[in-house]
Amino acid sequence: MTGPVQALRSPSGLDAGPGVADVRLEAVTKRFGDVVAVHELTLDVHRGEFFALLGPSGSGKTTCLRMIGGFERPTAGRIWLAGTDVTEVAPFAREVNTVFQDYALFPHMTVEQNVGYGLMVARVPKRERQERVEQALATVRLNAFGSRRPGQLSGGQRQRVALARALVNRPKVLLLDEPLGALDRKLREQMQVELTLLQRDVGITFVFVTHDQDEALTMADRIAVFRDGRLEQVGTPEDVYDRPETPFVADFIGTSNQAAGAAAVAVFGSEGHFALRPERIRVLAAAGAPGPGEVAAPAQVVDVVFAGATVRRVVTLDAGPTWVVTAPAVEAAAVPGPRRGDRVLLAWSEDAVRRLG
Amino acid sequence: MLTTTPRRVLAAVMGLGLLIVYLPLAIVLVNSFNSSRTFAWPPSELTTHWWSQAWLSTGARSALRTSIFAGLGATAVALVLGTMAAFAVSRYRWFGRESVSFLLLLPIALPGIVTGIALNNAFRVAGTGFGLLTIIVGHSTFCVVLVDNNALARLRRLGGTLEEASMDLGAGVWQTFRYVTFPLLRSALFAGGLLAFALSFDEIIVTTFTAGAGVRTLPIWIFENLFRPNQAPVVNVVAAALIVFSVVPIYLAQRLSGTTSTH
Repeated sequence: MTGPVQALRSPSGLDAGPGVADVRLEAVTKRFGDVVAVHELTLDVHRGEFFALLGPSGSGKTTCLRMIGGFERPTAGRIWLAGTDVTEVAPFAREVNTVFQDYALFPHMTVEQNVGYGLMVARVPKRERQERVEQALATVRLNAFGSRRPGQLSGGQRQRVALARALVNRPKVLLLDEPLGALDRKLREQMQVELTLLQRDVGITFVFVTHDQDEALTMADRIAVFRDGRLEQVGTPEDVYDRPETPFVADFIGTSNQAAGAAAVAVFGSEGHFALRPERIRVLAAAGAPGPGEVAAPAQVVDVVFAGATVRRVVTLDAGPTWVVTAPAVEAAAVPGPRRGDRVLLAWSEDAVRRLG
Repeated sequence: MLTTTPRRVLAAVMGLGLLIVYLPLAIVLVNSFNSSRTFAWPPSELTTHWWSQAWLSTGARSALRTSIFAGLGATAVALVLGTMAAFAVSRYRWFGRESVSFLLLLPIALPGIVTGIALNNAFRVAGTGFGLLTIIVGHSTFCVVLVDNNALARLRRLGGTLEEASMDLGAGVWQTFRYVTFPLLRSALFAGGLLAFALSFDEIIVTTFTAGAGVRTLPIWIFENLFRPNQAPVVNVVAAALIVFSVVPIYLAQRLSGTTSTH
């Protein structure tokens, strides 16, 4: 795999160093009529990073990507690519390529012509063009499909063509708009791994948009969580999962048991807003004893759901809130745990609790 | 699922309907080879005499030439204006966008005689005189919509991401049009152009009001010679030729607009 990949390696990727901003949004605002899609957003994507823009639909993440690609012009603010202000630069003059959500392959061209399109319009000599197209197709393992039309390919193959078509131009930054959204689950998981490996090999900065938190956690080096056109939090997957800074992030990334106000005082013994991951809670018998350094709270099991790898229990705490607790299904099978209606004691280690405000 | 009897009845009704439409046309075709000057039926003898006579008729030939030039002219105008209108409507937002499609469609729905009189007055006031050029303008009024409709449907189905992808890959506006948009639009434009030509070729009402005294298109020539007994067999031949001429573009246009975006 090294051979073809070398050819796609971005020249800018060679002098990659931590802390170098490849994409920089500076107080960027985008309005569509009265609607503010993105509000005074400032964001740095480092060179060589696999960066996720994560958020629910309508949170402004796709608008951000389109502004980086040049398809939307910001209402206010500046956009920088590798140290150059490109706010006013047209899409075809930016050293950025995009993998579109629907792939946008040209239906009247063969796979080879699709992949070679960027080189053709850039007037790269035919011989070099052919070589680079072949290498790019080899990288995505589609050498045998060069003379086919996009209509004759499966969804996963089309996606790889779209990748090759973008990467063959050796962009500074590759933008991906919901790259795996159109694939079925099995293929999606496989492509998550492939994309990560590919990004590591070519060393180009990847910025991808997704609404799928699993996808973001699995693939990204860093994640920017969007909500209503603003940034909620930027950080590594571990940061946003283990150390969410806002109730929204705690809730949007994974599942989170939250307590605020009176319930917080009753359960956590203090005013404020707290979050606790379902897998960090142990379910003990009602008469059981919590371990050292653990906090405990009595509760009743409302429902037990078997979800394959895990067992999920819905519990209502005596203090009020209804929470979810998950345990690996292996344990659950060995020791039949509490059932619906049982009284239990919930226990968790103090450092598992995250204070949000 | 229909039982046998209703199916047979429906098939018979459909057969009858098609017969009413196509039998007279078939008779015209057969009569163009009928040796009898009064079209005695059934033809006692077949001849190609009328065809050669029609071919030698200077009136018919010059009318044919006029019709072809008018058709080509109107088609060219329709292609340029129709494509531009389709782009404007499908790719940009502007005031009055919704009304334009309606305004383009209107001339085809307006009675031809109204369009004809209106254009006749306008040309008279403008002092342009009458001739091939005014025929082309007259025909263009209702031909533009045919190209516009075809192109618009195709552009809507293609969406804008292919053009965005092209620009993203470094192609400018013109390169994008040349390599992506036009190839995908070509068959739709061809179909629209064929329809426009066919419509222009057999138009008579608007033509009557915009042609002026000396210029005759084929339909006008037929109309003028229809009631001269001497000319009847030649008129019949011209009519037969017109049937053949019109069937081909309509058939092609239908085939083309039926195909998907790949050419």
